Formats: sequence, C-alpha cells, structure tokens
Amino acid sequence: MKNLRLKSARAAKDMSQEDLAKACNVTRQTINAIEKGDYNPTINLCIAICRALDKTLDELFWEE
Amino acid sequence: MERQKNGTWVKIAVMVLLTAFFVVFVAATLNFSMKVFTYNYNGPVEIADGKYTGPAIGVDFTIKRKGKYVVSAKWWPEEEPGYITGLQIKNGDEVISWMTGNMVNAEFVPKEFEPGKYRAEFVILTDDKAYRDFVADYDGGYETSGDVFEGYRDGVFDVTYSLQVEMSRSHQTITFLAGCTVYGLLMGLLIFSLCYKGSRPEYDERQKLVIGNGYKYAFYTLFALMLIYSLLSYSGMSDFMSPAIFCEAAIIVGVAVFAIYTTVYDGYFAVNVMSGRMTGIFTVLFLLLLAASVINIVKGHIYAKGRFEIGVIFVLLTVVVGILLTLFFVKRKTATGEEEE
Repeated sequence: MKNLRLKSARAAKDMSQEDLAKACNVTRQTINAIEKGDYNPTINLCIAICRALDKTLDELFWEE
Repeated sequence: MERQKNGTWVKIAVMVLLTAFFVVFVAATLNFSMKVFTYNYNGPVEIADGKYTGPAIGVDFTIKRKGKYVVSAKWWPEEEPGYITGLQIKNGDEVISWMTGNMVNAEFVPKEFEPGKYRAEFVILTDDKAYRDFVADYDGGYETSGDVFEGYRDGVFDVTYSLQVEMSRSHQTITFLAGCTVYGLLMGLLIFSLCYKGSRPEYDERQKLVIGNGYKYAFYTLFALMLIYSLLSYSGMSDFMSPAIFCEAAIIVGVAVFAIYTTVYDGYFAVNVMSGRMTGIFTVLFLLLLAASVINIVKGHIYAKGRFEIGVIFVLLTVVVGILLTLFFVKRKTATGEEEE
C-alpha cells in the first residue's frame, strides 16, 4: 500500500526523495520504495524519517 | 584543494599502471601458452639383417627465450619392434638429453634451455653395440647388462614418432598466479581508493536485504551449474569444457547473478559510493576485457578440437561486465522518472 502521508509530508517540507534519503543516510531508491509501499522500513528508519520531517510515528506510519 | 589534486593524480597513475599491467599480463599469458614446436614422423621402419638403412629421423628447432622447457616424446608401435629407438636432444655436438625404449610415452624433467639452435634425433638401435655407442655419447657413462636385444628380430614396423617442446608448465603456472595476485591487489587498491574514500561501504537496511537475496540466488546458480556438470561428466558428455574452465565460468555466472540482481533492485552501490565513478571504472574494465576477448578470438583460443579453451573466460567476463554497464546506464536514466511516481 502506498504511503501517501509520507509523500505529502516530504512535499510539505519541500524536500526531494534525494534530500530525505541523505538526511536519513539511505539511498533515494529506499525512500521511493517506502513511498510506493514496496518496502516496510524498520523502526529505526521510521524514526529517522520522522525526525527529518518533524513528524511523529503515528502521523506517518500508523494505519487507521 | 591542492591535496585533492594530488590524490587525483595518484588515482590516474594507478589506473594507467593497472591498464599497462593488464595488457602485459594478457600478452604474457597468451605467449607462455605457445608451444615451441610439434614434430610427427610416420613411416615404416624396416630392419633387415639386423640393420636399419632408412632415412635419418629428426628435426632442428630454435629456442628463442631462455627458460625451462619440457620435451615430450612418444613412439608406440602396435607390435614389439625388432629394435630400440633412442632420442637425443643435441646442442651442436653436445648431447643434453636422451631417452631410449622400444615403446615410449614420456616427458623429460623440465630442463633449462639457453637461446640457440638444437637438434632432436631419433636413432634406430638394432644391436647391443649400437645401443652402447648411443648411450656412451651421454656424460653419465650409462652401462647395460648386455642382454637388452635378446630375442629381437628383423621386420617392417609401422611407427609414428611424436615430439613436442613447450615451456615448462610450472613456469607458466607461477607466472599466471603471480600475475593474478598482483592484478588482484592493484584492483583492490584502486577500488578502495576511488570509491570508499577511506571508509567502509555503507548499505542501508533495504540494500542489505537485497544483497542477502543476491547471495542466495548466486549460490543456487553455482550449485545448479555444478550439479549439471557433475551429471554431464557422469554420463560422459562433459568433454566440451575442462573442469577447471567450467569452475571459473560457473563462478563468473554466479557473481553475474549476484551483481545483476543487486543492480536491478538498487542494492549494488553503497550509500557512500559515487556510482558515476564506479560506472567509469566498469567502462574501462569493459574496454580492456573487450580487447582481451578480441585478441583471444583472433588467436583462436576460444574453441578448438571440440572443447572450449581458457579464452572463453575473457568473452564471458566481457558479456557480464557489458550487461552490468548497460544496467548501470538504464538505472541512471530511469532514476529521475521514478522520483515522483
């Protein structure tokens, strides 16, 4: 399932996938795969993404 | 800035050195595999009244480079001949190697040859005196018991005399291994210096999963290929390739599966590796391998007498690196398109 909340949070911060990838020390392809729902990140990477986007885990990764 | 410039020059120097070494290494490998010559004489040997009156059987040959050479000789008449054949290798009048026997399939111990002209001569020895005279030519003062010709007879015997002189295999192997070691070390240094900037490659968590899967598929491929070759070998159908060449080819195919899988799933380049530079290195490597493949194809070292030869490894490596390069370029081209899917 696509993670549209992550994509919009990133867009709201005016960050490209490359920028977010650098901030989290991962490849751009990994961020792309998370947004497309092709890869489920570990809790450590989720936290790194949340810190980079100033969001909470619930806001980005909790499915209602 | 100045320091960075110096670093670039060191890298260029290493690259030039590596390229030169590779060219010399390929040329040396091709050169060392060359035989000095092969000689075959096929004809009836007639012994009448205990004497051989036919033409002299022999060949002159030249050694151009000093080194250790192996002389292999074979004569194997279908029936017990009425004589003994002696083989002498002469440098001028000096006999430097010899052997005798009515049937022979043997190699001399590798012997040091100086550059110069030599003669290999097959001598038909029909009685004990001729035999004693023949071995007396040799410094060793060889003595016979005197009864070696007991029961020998006249007749016409069909014999093929074969002689081959080639550079010692141990010499070739040491050269090849030394070449591989130095090339491997240089390659390792180059990759370390160009890509990792003194730090270890860092893969993110998704890439580690991809790499794990890559190893798994590479191992399965290697296992399957070995199994297929074992079955072919068991049923006598493995003559198309020697086990050593097949092992090398199987390892290359296994590495190719790993590299292609990890490239397709973006796990090949570490987070801290500059993929552009790596593509540059692969391009240079591809061109060198392509040159080596062309040389091997032109020299006919790919396929001979129904068997693949060692040159096929260069062709295989060229194909694999070519596929990887194409994938690198396709990945770079499509990377921008994926950004905002």
